[in-house]
Parts: sequence; C-alpha cells; structure tokens
Amino acid sequence: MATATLLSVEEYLATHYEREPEYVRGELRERPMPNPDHGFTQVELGHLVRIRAPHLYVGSEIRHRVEPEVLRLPDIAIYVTRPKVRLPTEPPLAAIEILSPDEKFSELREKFAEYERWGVRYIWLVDPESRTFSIYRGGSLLAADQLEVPEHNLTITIADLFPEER
Amino acid sequence: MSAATLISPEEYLATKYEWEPEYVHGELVERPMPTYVHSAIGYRIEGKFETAGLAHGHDVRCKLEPGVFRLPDVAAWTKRPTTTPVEEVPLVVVEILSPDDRYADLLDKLREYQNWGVPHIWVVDPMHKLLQVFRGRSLTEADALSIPEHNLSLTAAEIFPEPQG
Repeated sequence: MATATLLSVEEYLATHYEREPEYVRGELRERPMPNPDHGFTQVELGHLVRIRAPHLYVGSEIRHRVEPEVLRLPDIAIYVTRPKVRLPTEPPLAAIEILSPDEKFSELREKFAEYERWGVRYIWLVDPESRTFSIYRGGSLLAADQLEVPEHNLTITIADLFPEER
Repeated sequence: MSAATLISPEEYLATKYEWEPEYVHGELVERPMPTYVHSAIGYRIEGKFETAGLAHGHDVRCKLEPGVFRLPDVAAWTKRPTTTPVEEVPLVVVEILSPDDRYADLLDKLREYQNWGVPHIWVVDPMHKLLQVFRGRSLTEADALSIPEHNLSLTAAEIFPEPQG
C-alpha cells in the first residue's frame, strides 16, 4: 500500500531481520508479532498433524517463493515430500495461517489468493481467539468444523485443537 | 483489545464525536475515515436501495443489544425505522472495507449482525473489487448481491464502475 522505496528480491534475501517480513513486489510486508495464543496454536496444530499423519512433513514459517516477486512465510506448511531447496518454489500440500488480532483482512485475502494461484490445495485459517476454522476457496472463507486432507486420512476438529480444559 | 477505561452506554450516547465511533461493551471502537471511493460506493448502493423502495441510510447508529452500538456503512429496512438509536433489525447491512480493517474485528461485527437477526449481510471490498455474503459464519464470494423478494440485485460492475476515461 505505502509508497515505500522498492527493494529487490536479492536485497530482501540478503538482509537479516529481527522478525522476517514477507516480500511482495518490492515491498516488505511486516508480519504481526505472535501473541501467546498464536504461538501455542501453531505448535499444537503442527504437533497434531505430525501425530496423525506421520508420513507428512510439517514446517513452520518456512520462506517460499510463491511468485518470482512474492515471498511468503506460511505459519504452517504441510508437505508430502520434504523440500530440498533453501527457497522452495513448489507449493506445499497445505498452507495454514493462524490469525493475529492485528491481521488486516485485505492483506490476508491477498495472501490466500496468491496461495491458491500458486496451486496450494488446502488453504486454512485458524482463529485462536474465536476458536474457529475457515477454509479458503475461490475467494471465499468458509467456516468449517474440521480441517481435512482426506487423501492422507488427516482430520483435525476444533475440539482437537482447542480442548476445553488444559 | 486495549485496556481502556470503560464508559457507559449513556455516556457514549451523550457525547458528540467528530467521527462517531462504535461502542461494544464499554469500549469505543474507532471507524476508519472513509475515502472518496468508500463513500462513492456507499451512495451507489443506497441508490439501488432507493429504487427498490427500501428505507435506507448510511452510518445510522443501531442498537444491536444493550451494550453494543454499531454504525453499518449502509443499511436498509422494509419500513422506515422509528427508534433512535435504531432498534429495528434491518433487512440488509453492508460493510464497505477499508485497507486497515482487521479481520478479527470485521468478523466480530458480522457475527453481531447475524445474532441480531439481519437476514442479508454483505461485505464490499473496493481494493479487490469483490463482493461477499456472510451467512452461517462463512464469507462467500458472490457475483452479485441480491434480495430476490425485493427485486434487488447489485453486480460488481454496478458497484465498482470503471473510472471515466
């Protein structure tokens, strides 16, 4: 949005940031600092996927080249085969974003549209605050009671991720 | 979100603000200042509501429940509301997105409208020229926003006209 000085991909990749931003056509996109809810949910969800589908690979905040000029770090990505390169360009099986209170709707949907164009089959949004799941498909965010990858026998319900008493 | 001092609904209603905030359980919720595009889209939608013979308004203060006051960008009723703030449930509310709108806050608001019983909840996104309908906790993309029983249908082309060359 802002008319910042544009940065090249090379410059972005060569810089060390305190909290790695994303990169969209010359602009850095700050990611909100995760709050405890975000952090716990991210680890717990990754853990559930690992236990229930041990043959899948789960990575958190791995930098991907979604388009030549777009680099994103999904909160969680699930892969059938482990990416061998430092900056994967192949879409993961699933990309999951954990919602932060400060996340802007406009930026979120831009990111999801990119994931879809890139070929990510499962694009999910998990909101720890309202304890809800949404599935992104064709521009829509559809409320869901569970996240499912049928071909890998993976199902995670809201109750699995957010048990009442812990 | 913030640990602000809570104010009472009476205090909120009695205060004159430069740009009216919303009020949710003791907290004031700031609304982004509308841009030209934001307000032009609002007027276009109201024009369609007018043609459909609905009572309509923009930024009308509504009382959704005792501690929740919202000002939908555009709202329409089958009959002219008579209460102030308005307590009659609208037929339709429209939220026109701003770049700074936070997803969590937007969802809170849409859920409140749903709990209030608003049958048609629409979200218009000028940045991406997209229309969405909120129903059953899902935000679904739509080619047109319509209420067939009122012969009302708004397409993206009508809401987001190409700039005049």
